[in-house]
Amino acid sequence: MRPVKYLAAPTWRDAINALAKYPTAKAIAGGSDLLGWIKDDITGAKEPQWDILVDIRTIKEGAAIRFSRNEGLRIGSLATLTDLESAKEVQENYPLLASAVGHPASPGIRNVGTIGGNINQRPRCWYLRGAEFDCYKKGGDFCFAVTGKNEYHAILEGELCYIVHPSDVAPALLALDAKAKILGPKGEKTVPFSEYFVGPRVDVIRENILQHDEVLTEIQIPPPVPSSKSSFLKVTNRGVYDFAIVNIATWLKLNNGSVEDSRIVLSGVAPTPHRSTAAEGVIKGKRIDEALAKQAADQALVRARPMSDNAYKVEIAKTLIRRSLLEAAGA
Amino acid sequence: MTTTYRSVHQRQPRLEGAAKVTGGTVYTADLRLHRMVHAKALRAPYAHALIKRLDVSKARAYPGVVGVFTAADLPQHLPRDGANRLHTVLADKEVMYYGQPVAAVVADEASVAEEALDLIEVEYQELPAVLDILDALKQDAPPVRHSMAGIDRSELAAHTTLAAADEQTTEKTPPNVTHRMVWSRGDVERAFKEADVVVERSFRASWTHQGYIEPMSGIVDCDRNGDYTVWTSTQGDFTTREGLAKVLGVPETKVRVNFVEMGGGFGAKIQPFGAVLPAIIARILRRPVKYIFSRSEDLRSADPSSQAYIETKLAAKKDGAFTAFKARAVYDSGSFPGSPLMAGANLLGAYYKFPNLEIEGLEVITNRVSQGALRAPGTPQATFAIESTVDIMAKELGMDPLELRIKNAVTQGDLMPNGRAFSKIGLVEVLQRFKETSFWKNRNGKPSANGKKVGVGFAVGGWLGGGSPSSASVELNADGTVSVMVGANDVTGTNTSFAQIVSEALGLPIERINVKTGDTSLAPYAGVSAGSKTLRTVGLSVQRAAQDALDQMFKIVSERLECSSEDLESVDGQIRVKGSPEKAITFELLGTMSTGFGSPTPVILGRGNVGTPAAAPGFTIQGAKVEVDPETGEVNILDAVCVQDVGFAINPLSVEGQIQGGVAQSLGLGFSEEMVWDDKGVLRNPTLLDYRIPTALDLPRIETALVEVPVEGAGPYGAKGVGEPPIAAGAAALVNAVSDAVGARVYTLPATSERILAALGKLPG
Ligand SMILES: Cc1cc2nc3c(=O)[nH]c(=O)nc-3n(C[C@H](O)[C@H](O)[C@H](O)COP(=O)(O)OP(=O)(O)OC[C@H]3O[C@@H](n4cnc5c(N)ncnc54)[C@H](O)[C@@H]3O)c2cc1C
Ligand code: SF4
Repeated sequence: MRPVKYLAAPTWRDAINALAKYPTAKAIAGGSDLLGWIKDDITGAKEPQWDILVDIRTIKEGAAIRFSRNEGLRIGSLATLTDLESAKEVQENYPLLASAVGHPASPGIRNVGTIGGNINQRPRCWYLRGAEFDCYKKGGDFCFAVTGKNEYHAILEGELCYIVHPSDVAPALLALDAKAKILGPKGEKTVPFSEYFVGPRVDVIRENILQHDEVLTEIQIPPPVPSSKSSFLKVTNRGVYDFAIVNIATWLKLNNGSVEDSRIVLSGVAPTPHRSTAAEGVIKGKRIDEALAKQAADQALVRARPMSDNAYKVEIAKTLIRRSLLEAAGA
Repeated sequence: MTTTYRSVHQRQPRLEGAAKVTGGTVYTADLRLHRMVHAKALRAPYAHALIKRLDVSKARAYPGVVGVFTAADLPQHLPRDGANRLHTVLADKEVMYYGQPVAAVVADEASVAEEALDLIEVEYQELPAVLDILDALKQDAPPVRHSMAGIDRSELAAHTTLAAADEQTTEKTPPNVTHRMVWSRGDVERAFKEADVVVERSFRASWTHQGYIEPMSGIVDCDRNGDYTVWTSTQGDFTTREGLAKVLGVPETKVRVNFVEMGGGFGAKIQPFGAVLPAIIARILRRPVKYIFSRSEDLRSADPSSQAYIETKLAAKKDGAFTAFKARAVYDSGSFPGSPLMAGANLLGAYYKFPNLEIEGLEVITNRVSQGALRAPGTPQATFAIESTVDIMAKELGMDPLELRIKNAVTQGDLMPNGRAFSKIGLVEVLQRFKETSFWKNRNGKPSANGKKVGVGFAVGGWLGGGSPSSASVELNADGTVSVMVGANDVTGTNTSFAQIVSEALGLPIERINVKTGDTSLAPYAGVSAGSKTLRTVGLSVQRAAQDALDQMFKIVSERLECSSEDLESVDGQIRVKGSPEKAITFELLGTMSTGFGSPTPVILGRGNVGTPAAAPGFTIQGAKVEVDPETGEVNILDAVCVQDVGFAINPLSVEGQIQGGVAQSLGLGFSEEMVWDDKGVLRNPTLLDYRIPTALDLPRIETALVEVPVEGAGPYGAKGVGEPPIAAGAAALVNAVSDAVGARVYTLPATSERILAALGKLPG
């Protein structure tokens, strides 16, 4: 690995000041994603070689997890995935989140990996991660996945770039209607996660709205909704230490057994966590049964445009939507 | 009559195990030497290209850089035709595979060397790359390398212990076919006409990596006398010495290879890939040079295992008797010849009695890193083809697949494809024993539920076993302890088993025996630790050396006690007269006598040396029970078993460990492991995240059952090779189980979700 400079930030403010000052500085939390990125030497016209690491784990209170009935859950972005998985407040009130944070990588990586890092981790496209491919995402002028090997790439919403969003946690946050608290030089702002992630059409270089000198300080989840149900499912090639081929977070609000409201979000299928309003439209006001679940699944994938090697993902995504609706509804 | 043993046949924990599992063992990367420098290689980003310009001047000028080396700096005696991988240390004008080293930077720190790599300027002219195995067979395919002259076929010959009807490649041979052979007997075409059922299929097995924990690594020093000292992660210190002496152009006496523990090799570390580059640079700099591959470099540029394409055609009568087998096996060797074509093609037709047989074998080269051995090289690919075919045949015949196998299994005297007859083997015994395993008894245990389908499959596997001459010494120390020295690298617990053999022979507790692998300037010679041969070959030498030492002690004792040697026995650390235990001399006393100042008694030094012992093929049957989700293609392995004929289990604990490890690896080949190259020949998964080795969560409990059909003279107590057979059949068993579960068959390894969904007809197109 190339040498880097290390700066410890005592406060969020110090962190953004350092980022604003140095264009090649990057915030480091657990480092489980960032260090691999740097070691693999991933650089390009729009992807500088990060040589200054601003440590944010040194920020006091940055990992706090607080819950109240009125305000819901407040998660410091430095809380590790293990912290969240084992927090009673999370287990009792947000089983969907508790399940989602238990899925990434392996116990060892979840012990160091933070939720902020998970949300902001970079995609796993194997061309992006190979130093020799100067693709769109690094500032080049080609997408190697289109003509190359694309079994793990997007089946929906790809354009220019066909990455899939890698996070298991992000779909759960969208399904729970969570918000991101962002701090930047101009101050603080709160943005719903439904507006946090951006696809290649908006900006092919980044995967979310964070600017270079902004940080994600907190994740806010509204109070649990009575009579809501949920399900989290993930399909991988291997039992552990593997990104999703497809994952899904489903949240339903039932009224007398019928769906009053729902949020169905998949990762592994599109460049951003993909909320399937098409599937939600099918189930609205209806009672979920096998036939309806199947109809929703088919509807959700109508716009799928698989690439040369990834048509199997369409099948898996449909299966997961159907199963997750049935599981959440207890049907 | 059952013999009782004191030390062998007992479960003996590995003597060096505690240090390994507690992190105390020292590996090559842990070593630091005075004045040591670090080498890093610049690796080619193309699968096939000409080097038009190579400018290292900026890298040379970079602070901290000690030297930058290109092909022009290599020893002049080496052939420059790129014919042999070991001699092609750095690419010379032509790049033949992605990841091929083009230049090397040496610096005070590894990170500085890495930085300076960026300063090397290379201009490549890309050439068409040949990647697909079937494309490589074509007459009009572009050549994998410009100069095909002088390709070294010696490695292929090394895999080929037996002569084949070898039609050397001729002018009409397509440019990338480096070897073709045919074995035949009887009249296959007639047998196909007369058969009741004929099954014809084709199979593919992907490139896989051995997946050892420790990447390729080496440290080489060269002093002012031109003497080399080497520490490297290798399976053979002596073969490393031989390889380095050739590359360096010096006598073997000038190269001393020290034994360092190795973190796994599985065949990849037969050739000293980690030591050649630092040796050449050390010769120029006269400083110790350290060269450690990163994980990604190891996945890209080591020597993984070949892909294969195999067509089979099997004929049977209604009663299940096989009447003919015809096959065509193509192995992809990567950019240098040397694939396990012969071993694979031979085992392809070796498990069953085939009165009529025809096997054509072809080796092709492609623009990929060259292949190396992986545990029973060539065999998992071949076994997948034949054992899938046999399963399909059972279905067509409406016969039980196990009974079909028992009916046709080879026994002593039956012919292998290469025309050689089997000696005493235990395949039928293994198949019978399979029915007594708890795997077999519980095979119907878990019914399908939640839409998931449960299935059971099994497959036969085997390995013929390699061999080579070896030697060992056994010496009595002053305090009555015993030192054993061998030249074999202990990669699987062999030194523990040697201690058991010596303990048994001398009647001395194992705590008083120390086995060491010496460096190549001191140790008695042994071949590379590979081919499942170390225990059975070196073990025989150790056994003889112990006997020789015992004979010497008996002679001294018989003179002292005035009795005949025949009347003596060695028990509990003393040599005594049979029937009169009070007439005894202890090992301590003998130790003092044979080392004391002024003592007339000679030193007790036993010597054992043997040539290659008799062949001892080891057979297995492996079973897998799986649960398949037919809607996602996910496979969950519920149970696995391996029954194996081991001849004689000197240490059942390590034998079972070898079998379980082999099974784990074989299941990885079955469902998850695959190196993926893109259309340009660039490896897309050079990480252990994307190259999926199974984890503990992916594997079930693995049952082992040992069958012992000892073969006199094949190894100590009739022991056979153990390490390789258990990787042969797991992938085939898993695919057969998937087919049993969902009624659809995968013809390409590994059986990923995607391939299973495709087999089920769930994918468009
Ligand atoms: C082998 C492996 C397998 C994995 N498998 C999965 C998986 O299956 N599913 C899954 O969801 N994830 C998976 N991951 C990703 C893993 O969850 C993340 O690496 C981890 O959560 C990142 O957390 P971290 O604290 O280590 O982040 P870091 O590596 O420190 O940071 C990651 C990125 O986020 C930025 N960042 C971190 N915190 C903030 C912040 N507060 N504000 C702004 N930017 C920030 C960093 O600058 C960096 O760019 C895997 C990772 C590995 C290495
Ligand atoms: S999918 Fe995106 S990240 Fe991958 S090669 Fe194409 S542009 Fe680059």
